[in-house]
Amino acid sequence: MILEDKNLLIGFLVILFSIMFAVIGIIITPFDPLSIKGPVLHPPSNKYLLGTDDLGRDVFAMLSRGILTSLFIGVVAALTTSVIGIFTGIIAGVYGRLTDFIIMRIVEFLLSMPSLVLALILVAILKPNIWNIVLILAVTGWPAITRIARGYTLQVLTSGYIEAARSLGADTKHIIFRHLIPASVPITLASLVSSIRSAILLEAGLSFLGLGDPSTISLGTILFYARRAASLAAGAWWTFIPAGAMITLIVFGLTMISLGIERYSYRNMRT
Amino acid sequence: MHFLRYLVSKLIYVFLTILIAVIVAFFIFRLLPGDPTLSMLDPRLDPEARKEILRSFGLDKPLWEQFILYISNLFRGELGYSFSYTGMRVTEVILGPRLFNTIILMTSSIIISAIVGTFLGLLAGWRAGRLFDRVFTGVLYLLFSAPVFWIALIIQFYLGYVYGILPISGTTSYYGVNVDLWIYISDYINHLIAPMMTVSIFLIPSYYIYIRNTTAALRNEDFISALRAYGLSEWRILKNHILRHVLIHTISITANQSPLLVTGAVFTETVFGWNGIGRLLYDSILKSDYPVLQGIFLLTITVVVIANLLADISYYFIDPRIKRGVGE
Repeated sequence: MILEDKNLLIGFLVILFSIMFAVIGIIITPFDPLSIKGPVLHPPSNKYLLGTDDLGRDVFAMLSRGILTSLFIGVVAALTTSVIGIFTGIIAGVYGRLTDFIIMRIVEFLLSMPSLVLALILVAILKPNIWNIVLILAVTGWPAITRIARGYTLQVLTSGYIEAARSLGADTKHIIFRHLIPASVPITLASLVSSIRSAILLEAGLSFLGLGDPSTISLGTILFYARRAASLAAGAWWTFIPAGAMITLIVFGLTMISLGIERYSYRNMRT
Repeated sequence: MHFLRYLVSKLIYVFLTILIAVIVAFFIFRLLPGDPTLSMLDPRLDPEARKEILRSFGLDKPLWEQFILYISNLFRGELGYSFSYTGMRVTEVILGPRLFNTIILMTSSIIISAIVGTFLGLLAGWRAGRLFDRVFTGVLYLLFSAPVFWIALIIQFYLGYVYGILPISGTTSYYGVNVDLWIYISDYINHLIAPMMTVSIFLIPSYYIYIRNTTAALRNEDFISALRAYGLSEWRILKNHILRHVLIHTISITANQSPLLVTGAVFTETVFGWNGIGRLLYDSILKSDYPVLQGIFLLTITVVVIANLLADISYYFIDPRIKRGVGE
């Protein structure tokens, strides 16, 4: 499957590259990335592969941790998003009427609300630790998946095999857990990947504004440090170009994977 | 489908969404953990005096009474007073120069990116699979993945700090100074260029990708082959037939982009110190200015919903299929 589709192949290679970059980076910089290692704003050299920031911290060491943090937060948030989305979508589809009406009005509201505004307001109220960030990302991300899962549920409910299961005496609970949930997972796979993408971008954005978890380094945090410390005025391109390029690369990889999955399932549907 | 019926069905949706927003805006600042009054009032304050202040704001009343008060105030356009801009009404803080600056930045960026994105998308889609298409689609997918604040930093760094072509930050150099109107306007535009480039570069890919794919799909439609068979030149087909089709999409992308616009506004205005609503949102979060946050929240959702409504209305007149009720 991966080798068949060019988008999937590129996407997986890019993600693999960034993970390997991070792992190798951690191996060759086995120290606390927030510790002061050298002179201030030292340009890239053999000793400091990507230079140092305004406090003399190794940018390469921070970058390799940042990649893993960003990926971790993105994946956890997207999985949470998917669980909530699939569940609410199926509930809306199966129970219909008022349940459906209420869930779908909330979904429509959240879909028309720019997720950044919602996330910023929640950040202002909740404490910015890593789990609250994941929670905020999940709150803003689930409606897209709900819509797909609901549409799929409505389509499947009238199809033969659910009728068959019903006639064999299966109750609603059985149908939800044994048929609808397992069947929804592949359907929402492309959206799962795009929610990782949006979660990574949103988390990077919050961290860039200094509203992320202050105790972890994500790729956005590196950009926040660079901007706050006026490293730009000092001409220190290495403090912000690599971290931003890494976000772009990871997001690009995920975009390609999600395009690939979409195309793959589209092809399979037709044949 | 009759226009009025179509309009009413859309208006119901607008009303419901704004209603939910109004309810959410009330509860989000009252039910979530954290007491906003704590950041406002000195904790050493005498408890009796504290109660008195809360009473003067109506915060001692039961929640439902506060809610009714909030709704009735909202109808009078009363959103309360800002916490950080002491003595200023929320409406004064939001509506005014800040809203103007954001509207200028966003409209100019939308126009530029819609034109550039549609044009490049048409060219690439019409020649899908060729070198131009491959190169541009690759590059624009990369741009599509770049976070807007990184684009902003790069533009600020190279055009502002390194080459010194454009001002680094701010909306004007003549803050509080009386200068000739033309000098002021040219200075304002000078400050506008960098943030406008940022938002445009951020928006172009979504226009491009959509228009490119639509054009590439249209190219193989029967009616295009028929036009070719009639002997129409490629250019005329592109201009008179494909462009008409594609323009509907340009409108719909613009409406769907309103969340992206908000993202663009917050980050771009923050990086470039552009005195608009996006930066106000960020500042209000740092200062825990809940009334202003609530106001921006309501403003944003209203703008997004109205943008969608306008797009729906324009579809009605552009796309004859809606009038005939096809696909309803």
